[in-house]
Amino acid sequence: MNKPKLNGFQVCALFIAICPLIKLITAPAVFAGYCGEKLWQPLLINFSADLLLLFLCMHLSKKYQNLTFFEILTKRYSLTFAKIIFLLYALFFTAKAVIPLIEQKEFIENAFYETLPQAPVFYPIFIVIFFIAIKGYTTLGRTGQIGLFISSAGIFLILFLSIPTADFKKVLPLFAFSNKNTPICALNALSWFNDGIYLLFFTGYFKRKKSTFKYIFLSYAIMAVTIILYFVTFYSIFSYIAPTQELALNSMSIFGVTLVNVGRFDYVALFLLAMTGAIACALPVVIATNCISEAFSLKSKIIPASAITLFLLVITILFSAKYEEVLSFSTKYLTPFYLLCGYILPLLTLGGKKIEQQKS
Amino acid sequence: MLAYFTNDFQLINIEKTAIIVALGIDKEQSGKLEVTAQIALPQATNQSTSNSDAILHATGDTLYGALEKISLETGWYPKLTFCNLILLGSDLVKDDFMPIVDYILTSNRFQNSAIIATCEESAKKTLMSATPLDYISSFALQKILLRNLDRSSSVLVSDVREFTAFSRSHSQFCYAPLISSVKTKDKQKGSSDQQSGSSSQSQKGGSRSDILPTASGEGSGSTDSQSQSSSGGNEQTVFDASKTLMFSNGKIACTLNKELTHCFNLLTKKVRESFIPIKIEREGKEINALISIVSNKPKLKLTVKNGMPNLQINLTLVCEKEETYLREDTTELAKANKVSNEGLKELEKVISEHIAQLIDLSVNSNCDFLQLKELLYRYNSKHYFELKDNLLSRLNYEIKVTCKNYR
Amino acid sequence: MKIKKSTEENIKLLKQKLPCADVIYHQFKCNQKSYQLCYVDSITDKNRMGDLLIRPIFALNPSSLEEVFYSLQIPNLTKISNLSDAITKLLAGQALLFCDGADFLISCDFLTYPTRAIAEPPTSTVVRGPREGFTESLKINLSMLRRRIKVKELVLENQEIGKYSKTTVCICYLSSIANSEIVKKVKQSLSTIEIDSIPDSSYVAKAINQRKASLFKQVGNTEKPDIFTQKLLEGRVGILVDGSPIAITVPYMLIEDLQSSEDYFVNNYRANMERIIRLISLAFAILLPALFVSAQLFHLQIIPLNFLLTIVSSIKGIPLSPSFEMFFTLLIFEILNEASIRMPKYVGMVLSIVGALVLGDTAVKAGIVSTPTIMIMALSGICLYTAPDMVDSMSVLRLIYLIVAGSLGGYGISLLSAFIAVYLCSIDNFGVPILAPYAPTLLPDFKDGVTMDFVTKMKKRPISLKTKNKTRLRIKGDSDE
Repeated sequence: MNKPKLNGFQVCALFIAICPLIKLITAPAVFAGYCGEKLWQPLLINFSADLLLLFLCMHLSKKYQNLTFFEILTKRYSLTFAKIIFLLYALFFTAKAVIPLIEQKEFIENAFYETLPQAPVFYPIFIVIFFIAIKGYTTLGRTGQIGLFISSAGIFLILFLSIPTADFKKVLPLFAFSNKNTPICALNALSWFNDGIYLLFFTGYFKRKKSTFKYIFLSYAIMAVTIILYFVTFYSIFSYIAPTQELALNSMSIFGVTLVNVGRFDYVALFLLAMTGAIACALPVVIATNCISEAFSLKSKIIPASAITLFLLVITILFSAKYEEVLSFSTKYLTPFYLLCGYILPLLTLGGKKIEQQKS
Repeated sequence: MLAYFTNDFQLINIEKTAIIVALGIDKEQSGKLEVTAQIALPQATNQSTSNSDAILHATGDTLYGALEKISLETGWYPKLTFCNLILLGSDLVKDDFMPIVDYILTSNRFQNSAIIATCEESAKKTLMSATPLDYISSFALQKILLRNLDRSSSVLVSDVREFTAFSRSHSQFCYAPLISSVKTKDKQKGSSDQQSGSSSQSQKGGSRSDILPTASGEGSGSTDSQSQSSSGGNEQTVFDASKTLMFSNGKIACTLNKELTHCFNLLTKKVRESFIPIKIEREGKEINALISIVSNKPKLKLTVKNGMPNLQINLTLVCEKEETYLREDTTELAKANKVSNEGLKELEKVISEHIAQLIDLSVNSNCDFLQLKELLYRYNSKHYFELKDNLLSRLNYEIKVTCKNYR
Repeated sequence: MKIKKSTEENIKLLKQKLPCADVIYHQFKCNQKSYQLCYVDSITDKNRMGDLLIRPIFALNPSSLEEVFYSLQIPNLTKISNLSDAITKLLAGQALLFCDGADFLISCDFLTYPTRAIAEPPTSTVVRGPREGFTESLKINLSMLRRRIKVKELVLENQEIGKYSKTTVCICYLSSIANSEIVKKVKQSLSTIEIDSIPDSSYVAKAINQRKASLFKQVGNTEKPDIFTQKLLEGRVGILVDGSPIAITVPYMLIEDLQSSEDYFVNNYRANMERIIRLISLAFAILLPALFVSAQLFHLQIIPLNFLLTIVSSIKGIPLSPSFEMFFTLLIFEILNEASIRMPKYVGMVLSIVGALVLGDTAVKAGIVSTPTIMIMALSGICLYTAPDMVDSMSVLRLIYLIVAGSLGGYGISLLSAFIAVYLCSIDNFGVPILAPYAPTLLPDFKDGVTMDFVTKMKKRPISLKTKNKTRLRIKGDSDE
């Protein structure tokens, strides 16, 4: 099977443009509910944990040149072991896709459709997700690069309209009144975070040049700073009522004076972000599809993509009106699973048999 | 394709949508809510008159219950995303009305950027007033309330977000402008031409009577069409929003008059243009002068020394022009863009007095509208628990106002 | 079948095989030898034939056909000993000379056919720059190409495609620049074409498309030799088809259709402004009707209140739903468009009166359609033609967007845009991504993308074309990069 091709810049684009999108909708309100003005602290914890993963990936890329995660596991352990791990990861990424999808549905229905038509407006997203899943990493990488322009414009517009109305003093005090909920919030937010795991699955598909990882770290840092700024701005606008603003993306930018004069042109940003939001929801599905294809050595991705997409469609139909229950289930029962797959299983690459060093 | 061409999936047609631009909420004696909805009615482009409005009332136990009744009676779907003004009647604010505001905050139908205001009389009466400023009274109100938001310091505007956020802060206060109606004999725009005036009046009246005569709920609801147009024919209303109602813990604490509202704006917001009348002594005479202020730099610092909270207020005002009614010689006239030293001193004195009045009012009414508890929480966290319950009663303050010329 | 020594028998056989009225058989005698000249009247230059063939024979008085063959001063003289080859040559415009006693014949090229004069192509007009356009004659087109590229690296390879038309298709490329893989793929694609005839280069384009059912173009096309030359110099492979004035170039990138040759001839700032205008116009053309319909139906909150009241007032009493109204208006526009191309010019004025007054003004006054809809339709229609090469796909795309917007609203537009973006990202033609240089992002190629740098700064050829020779411009004094 020909390996799909990515390049370092595409990985950076995915980090900057696609990964932040699922964090923009309900996560700010959840964080505000847990930690109040200290909502930036669990963010820092999650991003720092991801940095460790990035370092691991950099080490693997340096050591094994063009070997993918699957190939490393196969060589270090065995093919069967690698297949089992990858099936586990397929489950992990499928689970990771559920909350962003349900959030996206809530957002679309509330932000855009006040008088909700009976026709299922949201469900065509699964056609897009299926399409991206069957196309694979190369298309995903290029789409990320296109998404870079679109997401950046959308996020910039939202922040541009929000920051003038934000009172950043509301985030004070920074360190007094420490919140016991901070580590709990960081743990429970794993369904939105843990983006470093994507890099592990892209390792081996892109050519590593001298400064590739420097740019990857930089792009991750840009993403982290943007998200922290977004969350802080959100809290600075709403402060004590932040936990009530379930759909932060929709409610943050409406207080700009420009909107009073011109009209709701923040919808331009919302439409742009809805477009790239579909790609963000598809990202874990692409990787899950790839995991199943690798596990079963399938040439065509149509069957695994169909299975995963159908499963997610059914879940969304059944649970779209039960977001709170899904979130509660995820935080109660799935957090250990996310921890295992997100941070512990990658360490398997450091154990097992030694692989012969590949010459560059 | 069929769905596309027929739009037959229960969409609400734009023509069946009631575009509500303002909402008035009053409380009846029975305890029910009386909701007054002002709806913008577009006129067909082949008619020469401008857009008009319709005012509908209904009562109900809850806010949206009342709106739903309007919808049931008229067949119109109420669209609240354009509702930029929510007027709370005088009777409503006397009791606990915060659950209504909380509902407006959490409901997706309302915009959090809608302005909340209170009125001296009922919200219904205020919205139904004919005003020379605009065909639609709420637009006239919004003109006053939103006049170059950070330019003017004469009105203290609060939207749903600010109102609820402040009420849930450590200071637990919130405010809303208090709108009073002033009757005037001024003519309405365009009414000098009697024909067009009367046609616009009848159009206005006509448009109201075109709507179903009652949005009947239990007990009340009418569209006051004919009586309004006949009574509004000669008497017009203008609005004054220079007073502010302060709430503490969801209840009315005090009212700021025009001067104190202005002073509060100078202390808490950035203003770019405001005017303060003062009296200055010149050549043994007391003359009236109006000072224009082009920018302000407020600084509120709360420190705690020996368990005593000390508030230092530093306010720097940059002034530009002094308007007096003395005829001056040319040399003096050339300096007219500057404020005289006496003017500056007098201004400092006046502002200091106003600030002191504000603080005293805050302490006496136990309404922390200067957000001192917030300052304590943010900058003096270690003393927060110790002082949070009696901060105002133990407060010492120091006021320093500096006024200087722009050039 | 071999040529016989008797000319009578040969002519008899020829007449049997080619019973055509325009095939002329002319017998003459010279030096007691009987000669038979055979040619197709409609495509033979008889004056040249007389001057270069018949008169010299009479002057020469040859004793055999062999002597004639070696004495005549005509280029492309060939000996043919097979009758079927002779028929092929005859139908290709060559004149055949039989002689009694010779078991071969001579064919001479006197091909001529009426051609159109070189004129400015209607599909790409410019204010500044060359105005020549290709014609239907391959020879003339090649002459225009040769005039512009005078080096030995210019390779022109002919192929005959078409079972009945035997159309000459010429592959053009610069051997020192074009990627060999791409050249190889083009040749392979052309060799697989089995078709009756090639009436136009678009048939060749459709045959070499890798995605047959795609809405989007996968080959570039141009009617201007200067653009064609520049594309070859960038590293592309060009295909000229005899009988078609439209040349095709591969690989194709979507950005090409947003560029105009005039961009390189005018002030750089003006060129950038125009390119951005084209991009914005294209977005307007596709999205404006869809956005308007979706805002009216689903997202009233997007529209500012005053504008909303104006829209509501203008649509009062309109019997059609907004989506059907917009669809109907766009359909009328397409009908007018189609009719204006097809109808004789004498009735053009009638069309403009009917279109403008009756359909536009009267329809609004009668309350069948609303004024904003007419405005949006007109603006969208005009904007589409800022990039004329994209009209085919974009006009269909506009309708698709409209249908999606009317059914699913603004989110439908977003999803469709995402789908199209992903689809375009997945298309490679001849190994080059169609969205290059934006996906994958190739920063050096941004110098000639949506915006362009100064021509003197475009020193490298596009990286996406993977050319052999990467440098196209060197200014004396520059250090080598």
